[in-house]
Amino acid sequence: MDKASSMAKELGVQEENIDGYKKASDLFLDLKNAAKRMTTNTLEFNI
Amino acid sequence: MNKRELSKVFSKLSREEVNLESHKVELGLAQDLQNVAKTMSKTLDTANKVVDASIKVNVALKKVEKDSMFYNKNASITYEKVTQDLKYLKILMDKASSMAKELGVQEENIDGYKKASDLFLDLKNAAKRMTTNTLEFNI
Repeated sequence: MDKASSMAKELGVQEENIDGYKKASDLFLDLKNAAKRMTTNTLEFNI
Repeated sequence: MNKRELSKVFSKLSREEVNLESHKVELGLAQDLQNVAKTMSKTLDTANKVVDASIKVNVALKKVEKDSMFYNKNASITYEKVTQDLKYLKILMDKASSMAKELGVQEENIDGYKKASDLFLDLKNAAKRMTTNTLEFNI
């Protein structure tokens, strides 16, 4: 995504105009959220 | 074409080349973004399933913990009470039977006998269930 941002800047276009950027950006947020949920929802015992 | 015009064309071509190169890189990057999104979506699905499983197990465990605490607090003392109640009911019912025989009536005609008799069976059944359904672990 950082590469896409640099590229977009270089080309003088919006990041969202690069194919796949929006999807990747949404996925990034979902993964970040999933990572947070995984750390706050661990098993409270061992089996 | 004079030297000045040629230079202008080359200059323009050179600029175009740079732009084409940029588009080529952009295309590669777009493909990378799309491929990554595809494979990482599977990871995301698994991550969400892991969290769902954890929440489900923790909720179930809390219920097990609560039920186990209830069991530990009440099982022994209640079994004791059921046994005592059965003994006392037996004494009362035997008395009622003698009384009925003495009076020449059916035991069921004595008020409360039927209810006590049903309760006796229920308590006996409960005591049996309590001995065959103990906790299979300690918490």
